[in-house]
Amino acid sequence: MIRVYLSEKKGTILAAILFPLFFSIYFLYLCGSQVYSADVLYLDGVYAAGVVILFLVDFRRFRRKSRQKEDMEQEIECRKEEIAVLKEEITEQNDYITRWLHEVKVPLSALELMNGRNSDAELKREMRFCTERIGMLLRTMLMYGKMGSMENDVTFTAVKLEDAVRETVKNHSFFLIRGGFEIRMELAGIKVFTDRRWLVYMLDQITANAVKYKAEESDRVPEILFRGRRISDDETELMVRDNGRGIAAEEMPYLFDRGYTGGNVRNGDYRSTGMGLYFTRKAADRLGVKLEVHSEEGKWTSFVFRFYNNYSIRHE
Amino acid sequence: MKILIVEDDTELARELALLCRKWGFNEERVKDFQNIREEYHTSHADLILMDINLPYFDGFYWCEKIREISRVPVLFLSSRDQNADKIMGMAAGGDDYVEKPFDPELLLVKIRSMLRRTYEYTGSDKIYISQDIYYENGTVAGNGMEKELTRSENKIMSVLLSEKGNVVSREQLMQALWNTDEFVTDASLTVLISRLRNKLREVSGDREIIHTRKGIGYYIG
Repeated sequence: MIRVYLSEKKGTILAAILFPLFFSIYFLYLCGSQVYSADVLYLDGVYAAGVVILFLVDFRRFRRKSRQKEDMEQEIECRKEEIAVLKEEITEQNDYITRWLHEVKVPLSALELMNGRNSDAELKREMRFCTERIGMLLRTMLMYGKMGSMENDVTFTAVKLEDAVRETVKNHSFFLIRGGFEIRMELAGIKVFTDRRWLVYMLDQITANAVKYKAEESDRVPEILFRGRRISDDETELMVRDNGRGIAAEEMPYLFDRGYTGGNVRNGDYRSTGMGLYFTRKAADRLGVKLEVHSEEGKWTSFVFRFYNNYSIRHE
Repeated sequence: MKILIVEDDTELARELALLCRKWGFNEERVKDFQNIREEYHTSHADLILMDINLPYFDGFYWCEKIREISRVPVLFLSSRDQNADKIMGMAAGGDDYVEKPFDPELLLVKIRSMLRRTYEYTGSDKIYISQDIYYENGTVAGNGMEKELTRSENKIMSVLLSEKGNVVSREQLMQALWNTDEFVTDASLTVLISRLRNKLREVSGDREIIHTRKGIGYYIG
């Protein structure tokens, strides 16, 4: 360590030596009789002592800092290892989740088919409600499992909004029919440049919300409107609006928070994990899609997706 | 027409078998998953429903093996939703692909169209509703008259006929329509049924073909 220190302080040491040397030479040989050589040497001595003390103090500081740096570097190495291990675990978990989900799909398929043979109409309907909910949860979970590795799993293409919306509506057909929903689509052949599967996933979460927060009063026919609009060559907007219970102003800031289930506790039907909108926002961010929500409590709720970079799309 | 079912989950295989029988096909279920090609060979099946996740080797492997000896239509059943799977399926020589959990109606449509393509099979094209009235290719005919049905009306007819004798609920009909991208409301369904009934009455000589079971649904006797 001393060698390192000395090599670092080369410049200072050189200056510390040359400085008194020049002065000594000056005083001893140039000023001649006016100065006593003994005094000069005495001054040199004091100076040298002072310099040595300063260097010793500085060396101790240097040593302390060096040790700190070594400790930090070791910590960084440890953390890097930890991160690598955690990444491994996450990949392992996601793989397991995916495999587990596919395993569960098998008995679920069998159950659905068995229920198709159910001669008790009422029982059939109630069982179907359960199997549909399970199916919905599985679908949500499958996409969640891929969210961690989205960078590797995203394929951008020109997606017709109508196709994505139809898929979402069909995914929720059981609940929408049961809820007496009217579906309105004003999508006019508009396409956006995005990943189709993730778009459907986001629409699934929003639609699930619309079903959940249907108006309780029977004064209106529940309705979901899907409207697309080309704002410019670059930007396209997709609005999903329902005429349900709306969202209270106090709840708006927390809507997309993880685990937020809202103040409106719905009894029965469709309990919530509070993650749907959180994941929607996450997915939207990763796709470069802006997501806004507007609402009038008691009247309507509208989610607006904004897609960019649509220049390359050739429109029909 | 015989369908070979290659699915290692016993419950699911049994349900698939029951569906096939309900649709009027003969069926056979593979027992030895190490010799699927052999079992196909001895079964002389006309179509194969092939699960992808099988013990020993996967569905793609067996499809390739079977392709070495036959051009029999193969329909993959999968719970994996990767695009890669669809591509692998086609590359292995498969003809179509259905995801679990699947809609039985969709499966039937795919099976029928595959059989039609391969064997010029016309299947149950002409369905007799009663002695002198039949339904074929989107038209109802009887008493010397023919009435063409709209897409929705066709869907309703095919569901009611596939469940002939049993009552079909309104939800079931709506679900069937929604599956074909017709997102009808309850009110629209009422209108559709009423229009369909009118057409049927014209070819049946004023006889009621579609009956109502109050509070439950509709049926064709």
